[in-house]
Amino acid sequence: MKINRFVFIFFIFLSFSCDKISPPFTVDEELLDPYCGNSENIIKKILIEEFTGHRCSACPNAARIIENEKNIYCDHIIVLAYHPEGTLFTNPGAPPFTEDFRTPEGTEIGNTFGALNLPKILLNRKEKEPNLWVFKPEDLATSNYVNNLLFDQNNNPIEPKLDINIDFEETLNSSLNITIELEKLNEVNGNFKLVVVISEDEIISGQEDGKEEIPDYEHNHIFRTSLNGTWGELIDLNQVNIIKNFSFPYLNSNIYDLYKCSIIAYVYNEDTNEIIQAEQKYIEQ
Amino acid sequence: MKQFIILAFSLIFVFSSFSQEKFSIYGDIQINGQTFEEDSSIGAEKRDPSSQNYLNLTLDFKDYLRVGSRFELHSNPIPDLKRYEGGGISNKFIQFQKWNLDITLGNFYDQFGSGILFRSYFDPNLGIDNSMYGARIKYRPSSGIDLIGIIGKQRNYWELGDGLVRGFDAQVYLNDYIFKKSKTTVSLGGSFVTKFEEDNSTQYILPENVGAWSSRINISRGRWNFDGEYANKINDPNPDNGLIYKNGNSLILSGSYSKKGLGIVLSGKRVDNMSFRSDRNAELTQLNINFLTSLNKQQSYSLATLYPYVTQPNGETGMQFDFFYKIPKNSLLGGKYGTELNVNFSNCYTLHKTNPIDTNTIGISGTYGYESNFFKFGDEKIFQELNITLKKKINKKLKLNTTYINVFNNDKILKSQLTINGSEEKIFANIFILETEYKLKSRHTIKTEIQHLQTKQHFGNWGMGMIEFNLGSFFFSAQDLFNYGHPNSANHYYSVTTGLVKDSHRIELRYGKVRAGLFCVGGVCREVPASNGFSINFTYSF
Repeated sequence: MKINRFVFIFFIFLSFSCDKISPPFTVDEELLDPYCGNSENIIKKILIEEFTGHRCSACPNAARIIENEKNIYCDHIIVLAYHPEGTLFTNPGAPPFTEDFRTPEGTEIGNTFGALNLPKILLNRKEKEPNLWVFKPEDLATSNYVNNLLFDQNNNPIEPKLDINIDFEETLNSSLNITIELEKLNEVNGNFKLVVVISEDEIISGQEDGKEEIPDYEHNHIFRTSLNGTWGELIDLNQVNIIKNFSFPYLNSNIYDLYKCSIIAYVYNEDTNEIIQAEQKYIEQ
Repeated sequence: MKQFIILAFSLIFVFSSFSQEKFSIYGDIQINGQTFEEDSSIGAEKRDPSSQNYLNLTLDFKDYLRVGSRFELHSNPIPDLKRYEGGGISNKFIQFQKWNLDITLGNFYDQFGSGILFRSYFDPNLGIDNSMYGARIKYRPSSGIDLIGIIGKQRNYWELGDGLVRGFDAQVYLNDYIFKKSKTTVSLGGSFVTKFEEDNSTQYILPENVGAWSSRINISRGRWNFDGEYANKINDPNPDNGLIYKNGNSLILSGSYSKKGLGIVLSGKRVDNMSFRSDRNAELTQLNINFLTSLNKQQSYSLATLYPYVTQPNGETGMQFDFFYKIPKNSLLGGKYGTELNVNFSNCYTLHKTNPIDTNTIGISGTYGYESNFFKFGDEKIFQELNITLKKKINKKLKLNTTYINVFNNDKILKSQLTINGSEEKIFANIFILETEYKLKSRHTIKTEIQHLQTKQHFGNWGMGMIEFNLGSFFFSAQDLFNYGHPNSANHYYSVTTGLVKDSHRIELRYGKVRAGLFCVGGVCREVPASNGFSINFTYSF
């Protein structure tokens, strides 16, 4: 009988329970207000690099998850989308998939970090696990990876190490003169590189979404070109202020509408690959 | 590595010399090593040599106490298993068995029913070890009733998973209480398993306690046997299912008839959203709580393993038919010794899905995901295989096996094959196999195999030849797989193997090429990189 009692207590200890969730299944966005809103202070910004494809039926769902995260963290998150070569999901084909979003830079980055299947993301190029950089987009929704990049254990915003200021001027010969100014805010160690790229929004083209084929899907955050190579250029953050100038002759580039483009600049640690700061500026008339 | 070998053999020597009156000590050691040379023709990269080593030690004290542990050492594992890098005690337990009670503290492996809710197991070839670390009680309150309760966290390489798993299983053998004299035996079983994992999401309201239950029945009478198991899991949004809130369910049915010289098995299954992990963000073979059985023949012939089936936890429905018949000896078809005929057919389809009640698109995160009619098949066939095997003993020395396999592998859905130009395709293949075994004398045989795979898709046709000598304890073999139909480059994957087997001890040395692909056991697969080099496998039991 003592054994029966012992066993009974053990099984009670197991204390099973179930959480049946009723709709709505999403968190009330108003509750997340503290993470959003305009800020005049310099804030830490992270870069989400999305590997996607217009024939990838799971990719729009991933894009929605990323957009939801961006709605939560607003200016803290900058998104860049690559369509890597070497997969059927990004090949241009018959209408409405005639658009070719592929770029050698996106392919090279994807191959380097192991984004072999779509959709995948890089989160500030921070390792998810040792020697594993790619995340599934759903990881954003189920864990607090983004929160951990932006806030410390006491939920205080992490101070940015760098301020990136982007300025541009349109010239008469259909070119954009871009100035990137870097100011170190906190001590950093390592070798750093600056990358400056152009992305484009609101490109209307075909996209598979689950079992549906959407002919007029709005593609956003599309990587178009890098102004200083796939991996950027070395910079010396020991200097007080760093100013880099670039010229972007947009007329002969692959962009459709300059005023739907933005300039994205990010600085990463060459030894760890981790991005320490990113900035985005939309090109407006 | 050197230290591991010294430690292992020291422990073996020391423990072997202890008195074995009150307690016994036994165990085994396994050493696996491989070198990787660069071979651009097959895409093999140069890597540092890797090794995986295991030492199991178990001590039994009288007949009621058992203490065990496993020491592992991994050096430069292949990329898929790199998180095993390092060494240490990966498994330790103490087990007490007395008074119809079995209590285990520490690491343990177990399974409820078919494993559809809970199965923890160790398969080093697949890189799987999801042992539970916690407590397990097995109790038999009376004859014919078995109860199991478990609580713990799962092993995750050298750490423990975040989720807490709790489970309960009961099995009742009805004939101990009713129908005692009946020739029909009936047993009923039921399980309940939950996992607890914190909700860290900023986007969704995630259930922290996810529960699943199952019930099963076995009916057996004479030559007939029937098994059935149904499982249901409440909402478990995770990256595997695209963060949907649909419940999961699964049904597995199997019926069989067997007598001497004849066996028939018919099985069916339906799995709907049954990925069940103790960590939502785990991937591939990591931290699975359950095991989803695959209904297809487990292949051992090398070309037959080129296009394996990979279990689809998000949804599949399929069947398997297995027929075995021994054509009687001294009959026209049976010959002097009889002939064995085996026919195996299996297939698998996607699920039929329609829009869920809360949105007009299938698979949107943060919704119910989809509705699925239980009795309808989906549009896509995922896999199909027909195996026909004849085994015939020609005379006292010679045996022949011939096999024909027709396989359809929908890699557009399975996405498990290396591709040319990144495009998955539907693969249709025919495989012919002829195997001979010639007996020189007792425990001395020569085996040969010739295989041919014909397909117009993927990497085209393959040929394979193998000869193997088994001379008592010593064996030697040489084989070559030749992908002569490859659209770009025809490659040979040759290898030579030799070794010794003595009682339960074995050593094997191999040199050759291995093609990139999948290694699968029961629908669970691991990627194998292309390689060219030496390998050694040593096992010793004591």
